[in-house]
Amino acid sequence: MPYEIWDIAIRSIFISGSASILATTWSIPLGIYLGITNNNLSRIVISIINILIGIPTVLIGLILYLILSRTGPLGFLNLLYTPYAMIIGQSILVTPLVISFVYEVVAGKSIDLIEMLRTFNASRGEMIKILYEEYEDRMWGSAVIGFERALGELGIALMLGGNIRGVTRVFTTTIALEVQKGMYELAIELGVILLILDLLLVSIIRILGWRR
Amino acid sequence: MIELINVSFKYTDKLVIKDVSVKWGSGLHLIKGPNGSGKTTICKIISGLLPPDRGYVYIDGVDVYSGESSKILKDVVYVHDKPVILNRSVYDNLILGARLLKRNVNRLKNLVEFFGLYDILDINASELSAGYKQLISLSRAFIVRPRYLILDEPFTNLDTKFRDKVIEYIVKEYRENTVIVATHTTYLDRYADTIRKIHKGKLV
Repeated sequence: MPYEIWDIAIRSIFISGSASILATTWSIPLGIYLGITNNNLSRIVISIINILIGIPTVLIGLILYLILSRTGPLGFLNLLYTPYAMIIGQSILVTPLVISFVYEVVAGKSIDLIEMLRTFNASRGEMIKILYEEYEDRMWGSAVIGFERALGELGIALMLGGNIRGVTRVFTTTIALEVQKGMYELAIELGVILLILDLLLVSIIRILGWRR
Repeated sequence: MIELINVSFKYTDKLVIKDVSVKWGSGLHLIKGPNGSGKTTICKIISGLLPPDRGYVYIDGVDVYSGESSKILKDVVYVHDKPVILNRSVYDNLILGARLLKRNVNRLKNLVEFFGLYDILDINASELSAGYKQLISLSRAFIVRPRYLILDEPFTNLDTKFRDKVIEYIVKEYRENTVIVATHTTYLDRYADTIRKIHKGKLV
């Protein structure tokens, strides 16, 4: 079991980490763009995105399941019950969270900076680049929050991964399985390990961010 | 030539700028008034940063809030009352405007010498005093040398030495351009071509 726990831990970090990194590649520019634009349309979009933060993970899992299953439109890709399907699902889960966080940083705290850039005729692309560089730490802070959300979710991991031992089994699916088997002690142990791992990783990322 | 025609602006249902019509040609023009009188709002409206609820703003005959304004707005620079500084070196902050507007930085050397900024060029500007930040913020606009320079309370954080230097620079270098300064102080009064007072959202 100790070997399997390490296997599960590494897979959990890989899947949730990949999902978070993937989500930030589009969420950070989009969050900055919405913050720069800050008009009625962008405020409506951000309101919808804020609602999507609370979307049940099983709903994302169900929708992607229907798309990725054999009879679904992307069934030919054979992604269902693979770590890649879990990465796709978790990146969708994390996206609204990161966008919303980045938007708050830009629209809430950078009005003068945006005006200064506008007065010097900066293009949208230049503004996104400068604002990203200026708030880089906080932008990656949003990725850390996304990672925590992905690491702790169950619905997507279960529906798209299927909890296959040695392939898609992650912390949350293992805990759920052990509870179903009545192995509460092991489930609690795994839960504590997940919590410690989460705290440890987040602390390392934050310390690296401060040092930089 | 900057021209405002019947410009009004509402802020959360309160009319802060009321039916303002004014023309400013080249020279130094002051907008004076106490805090909260609408000076910043007028400056931002002129600079193309804040569309008015009513009325028109023309610069050299071009409607600032029309689709054709991008070219003329390259010649309009607004400097905030609170200095806006990037978490970068003084040098990077100084050349930012010129870099974005794709202008050369020929004036940088003279400006750095004039204001005595040479020794701090490599220092992170966000760690400097409020006075230096204000000076960097102003110098960033001076390097670009826009035809229309809009300064909002430019002396707030400056000590006497820097304030006199800024006044000397504006008076010496900007005679042929249009400089609009919103201020509640009297430092520039004797150099100004026109002085307008803003009272309860109206220019008088």
